[in-house]
Amino acid sequence: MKQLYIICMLVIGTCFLQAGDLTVEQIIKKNIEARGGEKNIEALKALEIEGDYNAFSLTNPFKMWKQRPGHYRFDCVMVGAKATFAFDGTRAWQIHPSYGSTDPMRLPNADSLIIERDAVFDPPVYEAKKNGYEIELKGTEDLDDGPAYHLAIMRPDSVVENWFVDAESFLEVKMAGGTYDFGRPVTKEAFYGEYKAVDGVMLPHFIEVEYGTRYRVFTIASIKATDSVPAETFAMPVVEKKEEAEGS
Amino acid sequence: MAKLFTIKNLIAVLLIALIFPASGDEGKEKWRQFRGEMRNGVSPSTNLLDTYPEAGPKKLWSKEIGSGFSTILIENDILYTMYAKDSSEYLAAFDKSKGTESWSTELGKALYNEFGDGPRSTPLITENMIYALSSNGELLAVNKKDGSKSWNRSFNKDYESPTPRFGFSMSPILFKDMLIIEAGGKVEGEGEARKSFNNLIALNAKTGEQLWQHTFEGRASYSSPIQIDFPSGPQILFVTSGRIFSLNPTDGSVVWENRVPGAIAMPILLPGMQLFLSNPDQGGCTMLQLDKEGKAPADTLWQNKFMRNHFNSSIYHDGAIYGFSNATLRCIDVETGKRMWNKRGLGKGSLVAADNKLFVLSDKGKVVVVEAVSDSYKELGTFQAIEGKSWTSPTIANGIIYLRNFSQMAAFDIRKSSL
Repeated sequence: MKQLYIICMLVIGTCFLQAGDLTVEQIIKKNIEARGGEKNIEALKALEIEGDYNAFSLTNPFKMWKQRPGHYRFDCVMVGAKATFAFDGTRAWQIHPSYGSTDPMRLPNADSLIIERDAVFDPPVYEAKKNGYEIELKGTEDLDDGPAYHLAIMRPDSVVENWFVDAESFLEVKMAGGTYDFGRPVTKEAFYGEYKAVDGVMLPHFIEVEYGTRYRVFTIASIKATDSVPAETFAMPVVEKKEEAEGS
Repeated sequence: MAKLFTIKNLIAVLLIALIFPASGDEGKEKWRQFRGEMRNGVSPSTNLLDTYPEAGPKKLWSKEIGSGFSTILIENDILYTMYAKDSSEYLAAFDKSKGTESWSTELGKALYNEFGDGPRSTPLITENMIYALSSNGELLAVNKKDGSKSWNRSFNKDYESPTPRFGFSMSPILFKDMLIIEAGGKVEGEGEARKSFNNLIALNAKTGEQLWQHTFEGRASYSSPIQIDFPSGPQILFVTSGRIFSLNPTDGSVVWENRVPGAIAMPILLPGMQLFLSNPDQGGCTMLQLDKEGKAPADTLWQNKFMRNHFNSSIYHDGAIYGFSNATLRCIDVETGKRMWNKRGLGKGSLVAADNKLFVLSDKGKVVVVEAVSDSYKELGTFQAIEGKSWTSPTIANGIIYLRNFSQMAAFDIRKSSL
């Protein structure tokens, strides 16, 4: 009986050692492999994404396009009106019903940073490794679905993103950091699940995001890899100036 | 006399008790104000289902009503709530067995808001009257038998208060014959010289006459007051404009005040005169130790970001706080503030407690019944009760759960005897 107890303790101990013994380099390597490997990740040029988007407790279909480098467009419905958030490779623009206009407009500075970040195409750890951002292993944490490695990624703009990589699948399951909401800095948590392979790259098909008092859910029905997306998709539409009516 | 205590009689009494459990069948339980009789979100109902059939418990009825977020009240056989229809807001009474509307009274023009039109406040039922606040600040006293108007006050006209961004949302409290509520106030000046004022007021519940008014610099909040009974006497506690104001209800004088983060969720009084506050933004939650005599400001016991209630309040049960930290259902320990468990996927939901269980309504109308224990998340059952945006917290009385989404009401029998 005593021997059995010792064996059990050794097995349990070994499991913990495995979880705690990996170096940051090993975790990065395993994460990139779990995502499909550098070759497959680099081979993805553009994505067309469709599904349902939940905002303000209402769910509506959305479409999203992402293309290297830094091109992004997200068409959705918010509080009953069509909204678009986009980054054309240089600048962000939006059509946002909460601003009281259906015309496209450039984003305020702080909010522009969020869209620019959303336009990033690579998996976060891969992006950090490729660009030489500092990645620190903070340890392991027990999340709702099991233990995860906590990696802190120091971006060049001094923003720290805390990524949690599942200790079993080595896929990212959570991000904790900060963002902006109408220009106000707020904390952000995002949760990633239902990974499926798209051209050899594992991509999350369920994403829950909480920031400030906001709650958003992306339930992704399909992700299609493509060589390119038409440039006009990302360009801010030009709005013709409406001539003022005489006497108004 | 001795014959009364025969075994036969005892068995008969036990059988009657089993068939007609203490809670549920008599229809004695009431829910006459926001968050129930004690304004804490806890129902006295017992003998509720421990397991739930896949198809859900017995549905009694569902009914289309107008839009709004007002919670459902119950007294005897009548339900009351508020809604918006066409361009007006209404207070209405419904038969509890079928949900049939028996009367409705117009409160004033409806609030239009991109997050949902209609009333936010919950009415208050007294012996003969029901008091309702529209989202544009019309406070009406209505005869609860037939809906006839007795008196009304306008926060816009009487206190020069502009309608808050999301509408007047606070729910009144009754102290003796006084109706106590936050009324907002006037705005003076422009630009940097702009000043907003707020009023905490008491009205004669019979006449609507103002009895006292406490005016200060601030803005109308979305939080509702509670009553705390100190040895030195009762106080009415408001969390508004970044402060706690604890008022002497007889004259409206401030007995003590604390600076705290603003909140929408109601404060929760805990055993040992501790007070729990929760803020949706960066402030998070705070546990205060109230002065036992209620004469001095409170001391902070702990503060953290684990429970960030947005527009729905938490529940206290047996040493733990349960609530939605934004969109995560969470349990935290009262003594330490430590996070005990999390459950995601229910959106910006709401909850009430009864029979040592939490009845959680997801923001998409799914009811999740959870054992009210802090050691781990233990789900007892779940059913899709209603569809669509559901931001209004449930009501439980006499073993029936009453639910509301943005435009529909429904009732389910959750008594053990219902299966």
